[in-house]
Amino acid sequence: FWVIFAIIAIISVEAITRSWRD
Amino acid sequence: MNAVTIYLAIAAYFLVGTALAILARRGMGKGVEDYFLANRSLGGFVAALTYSATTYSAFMMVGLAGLTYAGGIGALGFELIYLSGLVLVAFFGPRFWLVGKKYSYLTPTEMLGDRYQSKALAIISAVGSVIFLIPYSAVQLAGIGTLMEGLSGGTISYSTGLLVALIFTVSWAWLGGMRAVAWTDSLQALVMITVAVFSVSFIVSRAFGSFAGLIVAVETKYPSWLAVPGPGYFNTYTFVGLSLPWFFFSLSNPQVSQRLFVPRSLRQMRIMVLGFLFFGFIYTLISIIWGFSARVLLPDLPYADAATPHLLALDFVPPVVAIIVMLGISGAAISTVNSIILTLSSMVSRDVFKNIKPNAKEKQELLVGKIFIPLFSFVILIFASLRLDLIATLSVASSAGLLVMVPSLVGTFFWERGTAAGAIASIVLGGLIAAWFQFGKLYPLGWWPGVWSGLVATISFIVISLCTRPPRQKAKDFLSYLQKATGEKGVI
Repeated sequence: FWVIFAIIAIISVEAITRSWRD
Repeated sequence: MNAVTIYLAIAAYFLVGTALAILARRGMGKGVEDYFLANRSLGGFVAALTYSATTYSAFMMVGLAGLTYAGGIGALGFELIYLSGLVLVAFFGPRFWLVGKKYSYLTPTEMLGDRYQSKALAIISAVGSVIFLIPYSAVQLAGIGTLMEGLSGGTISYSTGLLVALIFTVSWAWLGGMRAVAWTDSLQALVMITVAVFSVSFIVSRAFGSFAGLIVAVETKYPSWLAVPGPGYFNTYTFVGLSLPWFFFSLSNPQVSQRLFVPRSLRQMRIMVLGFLFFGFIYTLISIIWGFSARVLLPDLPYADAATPHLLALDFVPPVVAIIVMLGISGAAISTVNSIILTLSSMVSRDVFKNIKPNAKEKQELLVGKIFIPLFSFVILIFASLRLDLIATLSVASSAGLLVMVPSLVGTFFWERGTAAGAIASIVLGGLIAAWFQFGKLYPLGWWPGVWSGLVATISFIVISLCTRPPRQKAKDFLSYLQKATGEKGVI
């Protein structure tokens, strides 16, 4: 359960930061 | 274990780290930003490793393993909730970076002081950080001293271990500032993760045959350690009390939030955040497995934090494995402490000295910062030597005490009505509550000091801000710039 919880958090961060531009 | 072997391993480690620190100095400018922020030019990979090494201290392979030993799977939940707190960086990170670049902020506390137009706020928040982070650093160094003393069978004394750790800490930070710390942190992060994976694989394969074998052994002998709420250590109050302050760690701890100023670009910051998440996820799982191994192999330890030294003393663990684990844990502690010292020194030079002497030249400001690196290190050494309960208590209170920075930081980016008086009241009242409850071992209604300090800080920030006058023009400029810049950079 906790491993899946962490993976969801990591995927969320990846999704949120994908649109960042230089 | 032979003291000469330990000294040789330490000397080799020191030489490699020092060579890296000297290399890192090359091409470094002479300004304050060059020294304390690596001129805001770190690449994502190095930034991820220094963020990881700064965040993960000796707590992981010693404290978290001990927490697993005592409380079971709840320790994994607590640590992964902390890791998930990096979602905050996905929102706050770009904002720190954007205003840091525009207004040339050196420290998070300088940003607070400027946004709320109050020198007093910058000084108070810097002093508060020193009060909570120096004892925390002392406990880290004490861990190295204890580990070396234990591994050498007393041949290397506790105070010699402290002195060795101090030499590492001062040398690398003083030699090349943030750039040297970032490079040596990168080395230490790679050592930490490699050593952790190797040593846990070694113990698990030798003692249980496989990971599945370990889990079956835990289920057979200690089934409640794999269930929730576990064997009795964790309950709702304990779990929330531990997790809440650590969830906000990426914002509340200045040595970590200052690293939001250093990536070269937002794309590099994205690499930093994702790299850290990957590192933290692996390191957490390894530390938890280490704790479960100790639970099965060493069922009758006098106290949970003794799990790691006792695991290393098992008959089937060769001395060379014990030495590299010691180096990995020492590296974790040193990389955390030298980052803290560097950040606190930058806060003294920018938030205290520069506010008292606003006309001081950059050269003087840098000199003050550099003087405080050995000075803080010496204070930490004294604290660690004393082994006072006071130090340990303040160290435990550090996460609850630093949590009080969060309401003011949220207000910085999102609330035009926030005021300096509100921020000062929030930090002072919240900090006093954290220290008072921790020293008095007070848990009103069962909730831990961190819950109360966070609550008091939030309420006092809002109420006092609503009763006082905000710096409207500064707030308007600051927030308008952020609204425009975040739109341009694709930031949510």
